[in-house]
Amino acid sequence: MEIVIKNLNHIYMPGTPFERQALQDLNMQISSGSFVAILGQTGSGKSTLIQLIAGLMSPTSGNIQIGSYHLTPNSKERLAVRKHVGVVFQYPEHQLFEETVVKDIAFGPRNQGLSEKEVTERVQMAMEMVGLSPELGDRSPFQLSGGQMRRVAIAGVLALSPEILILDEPTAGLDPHGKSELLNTISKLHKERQMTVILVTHDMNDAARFADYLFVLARGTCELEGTPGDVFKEQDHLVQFALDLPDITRLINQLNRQIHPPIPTNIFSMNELENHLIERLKKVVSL
Amino acid sequence: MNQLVIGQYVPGRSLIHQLDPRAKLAFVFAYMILVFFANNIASYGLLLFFSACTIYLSQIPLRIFSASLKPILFLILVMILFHLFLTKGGQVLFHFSFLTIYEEGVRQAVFISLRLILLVLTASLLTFTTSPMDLTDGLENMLHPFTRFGLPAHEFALMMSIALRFIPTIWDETEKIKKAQMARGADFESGHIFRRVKSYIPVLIPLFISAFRRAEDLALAMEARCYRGGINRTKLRELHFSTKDLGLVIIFAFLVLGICLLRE
Ligand SMILES: Nc1ncnc2c1ncn2[C@@H]1O[C@H](COP(=O)(O)OP(=O)(O)OP(=O)(O)O)[C@@H](O)[C@H]1O
Ligand SMILES: [Mg+2]
Repeated sequence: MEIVIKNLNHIYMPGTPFERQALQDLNMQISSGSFVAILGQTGSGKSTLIQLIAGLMSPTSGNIQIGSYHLTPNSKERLAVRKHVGVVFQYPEHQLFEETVVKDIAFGPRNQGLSEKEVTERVQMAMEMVGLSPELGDRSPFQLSGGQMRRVAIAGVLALSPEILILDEPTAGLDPHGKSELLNTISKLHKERQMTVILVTHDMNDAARFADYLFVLARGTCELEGTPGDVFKEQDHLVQFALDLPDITRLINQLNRQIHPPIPTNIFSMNELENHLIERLKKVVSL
Repeated sequence: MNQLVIGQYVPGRSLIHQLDPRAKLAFVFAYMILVFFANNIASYGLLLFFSACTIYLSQIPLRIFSASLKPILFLILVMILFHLFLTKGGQVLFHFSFLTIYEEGVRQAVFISLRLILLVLTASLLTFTTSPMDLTDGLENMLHPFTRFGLPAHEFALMMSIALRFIPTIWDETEKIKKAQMARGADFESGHIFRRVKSYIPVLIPLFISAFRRAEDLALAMEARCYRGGINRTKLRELHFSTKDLGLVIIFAFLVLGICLLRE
C-alpha cells in the first residue's frame, strides 16, 4: 500500500494556552514495499506523524492516503486503516498485560475476529519471527528479561500480519547485540513479505544500513529526503538539524582525504566497503 | 496530552495568579460556604457577577472553564429533572396526566444548577491559577498549626503534591497505552457498558504496573537524595502575603454583606 501525505497539519490542544503545532504542511510519499527511516531531532514531530499514519489520531488538516483509504480530519476510515497498519511504539513492553506470552500475542489476532486455529498459527508464526522459543509461551510476560519482553510485544504486533509496519525507536534500551538482531529480523521480514517498513530512529547507523529512503523532519516539516547516499552527502544541512553522519560515512570521508580517487560515499556496510577496497587493491596489483 | 486535564494549572501572570495560595485557599473555602446562603435571584446574581469578574481577571480563555463544566453536565441534568418533577409547592405551571411541574420545582432546578456551576467554577479557578507547588505549600502552611495534635502536615502535603504532579503523567501514559492497544485492534467505544468496562483491562493492567514502577523509582530517587520527613526542612521559596491578599478579605466582607442584604 502506497502512502501519500499532502499538506498535513497537526495541532495539539488547539485553542488552549498549551496549543502546539507538531506538524506543519508536511508532504511525503512512501512507496509500497519500501523500507524508509524517519529521522529528526527530539520534538520534530516523528511520533505524531506515525500516529496519524496508523489512524490513531485525526489530523487537524490535510490528507493521508493509504492504499485506497483517505485519512482527513473527519474521516471515518481510521478504523479500517488500523487493520492494515501495525505499530510498535517506544518501549512496547510497557503494554503487555496478559497472564501468558501466548495470550498476549494472541490479543491482536483475536480482536481481528480470526478463528482459534488461525490465532494459534499466527502466534506461532510471530514467535518464530522474533526468535522466541516455544517454551516461553506459557510463562508470564512479566517474568521475562527486558529484551525478551520487547520481543513478545513486537510479536504481538507482527501477529496482526500488517501490510505496513511502523516502529518508533524499537531498539531504545537494548544492548548492541539485541539491537542488530532485532533490526535484522525486521529487515528479513521486509524482504520476505514485501512489508512496508517505517522506522523512526535516532541512530544514523541503523538508518543508513537498513533503510532505502530517508526523511528528515525538523519543526514539523520534511526538510530533507532521499536515499541514504543523497541525504548523508548534505553534511552541513544535517548539522543544522542536529543530526550526525553514520560512523562508516565518517570513516570514508576521513579516508578520502588521503586517497584518490575517493571511495563512493553511498557505501553503508562494512562488507561493501571491504569489497570495494579489495577490488581497488586488485586493480592496483594487476597494473 | 490531547485535551486539558481537569484542574490543570494554566500558567499566567494575571492578578489572580499572583495572589498568595493561602489567601486563595481560604477565600475559596469561605466563598463556597457563602454560595450555600444564596437563595434568590438577586443573591445568585451577585455571586455570578463576582465569579464572572474573577474569570475575566484570570485571563484564562472561557472555553477552558466551559470544558471544566462538561464533566458535571450530566449531574446537573439529573438534578434539574429531579427538581422539576418531584419538588412540590407554589403554583402549578404545567400539568399533563401524571406529570405536574410546580413553580418551586423550577426555582429549585435553576438554583441548584447555578450552585453547582458556581462551585465548580470557583474550584477550577483555584486550580487553574495556582501551581500544584503553590497549592501544596499553601496547604502545608495552613495545616501546620495542627501538627501539635499529631497531624502529619508535611507528609500530607507531600502526598498531595506527588499525586498532583503525577496526574498529567499518568494521563499521558493512559493515552499512550490506549493507542497501543487500539493499534492491536482493541475497541473502547462500542458495545454495552460491561463490555466497555472489560475492554479497559488491557489498559488498566499496564497502567498499574507502570504506576508501581514509577512509585518505586521515585522512592529510590528521594532516598538517594537523603530525603527525610518534615522536621527542620527549609523551603527554597517562602510564601508572602501582600496587600493584594488583604484586598481579598475586604472583597469577601463586601460579598457577605451583599448576600445578607439580598437574600430572603
Ligand atoms: N500528546 C501531546 N500533547 C501535546 N503536545 C504534544 C503531544 N505529543 C507531542 N506533543 C508536542 O508535539 C511536538 C512533536 O512531538 P513528537 O512526539 O511528535 O516528537 P518526536 O519527533 O517523536 O520526538 P522524540 O524524538 O523525542 O520522540 C513536541 O513539541 C511535543 O511537545
Ligand atoms: Mg517520539
